[in-house]
Amino acid sequence: MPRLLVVHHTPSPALQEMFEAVVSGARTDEIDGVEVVIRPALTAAAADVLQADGYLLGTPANIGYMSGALKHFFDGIYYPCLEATRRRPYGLYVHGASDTGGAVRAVESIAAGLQWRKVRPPVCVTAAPGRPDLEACWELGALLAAEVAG
Amino acid sequence: MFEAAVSGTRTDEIEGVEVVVRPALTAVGVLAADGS
Repeated sequence: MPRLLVVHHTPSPALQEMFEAVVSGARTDEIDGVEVVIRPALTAAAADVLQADGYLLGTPANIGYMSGALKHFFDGIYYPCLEATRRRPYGLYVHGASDTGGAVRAVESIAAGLQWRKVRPPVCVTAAPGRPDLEACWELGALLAAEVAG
Repeated sequence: MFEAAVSGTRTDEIEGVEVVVRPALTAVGVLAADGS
């Protein structure tokens, strides 16, 4: 069964809401036959990445960068997964107090190095997530699930 | 590089400094230190 891996760092209520919306979209009844696997970033390892067919990444913007937890994840999986995961689809959601640009650039730079394929622009939120933000998160999850389902 | 940096911090030429080493993912105690 195709597998979608969610790797997230969720240290705030805003990110918990976004995470739940993303996972809800990924598990929508409208898409059959996709296993959604969830890993907090500090527990996700190369074996999880190699066994998945697409990736959903969630992080806060911390002082202009992705969270240390997500960076630690990338540090661990980059070379072990470099050859095997090219062209696999990924999506990103980011929450920041005022600006998410640095975090987005950092993640997209590493994903470009891995040659992962971005299936839509990242969902970026800088205040308390409103209904449109959470709907965008849901759509991101559903889109990735559809992509993985083929 | 790590060993060389720690060796420098612990040189006999400087007395009275306690050097505390922590892997980044285990680090606590920043408030108790005087430099990092």
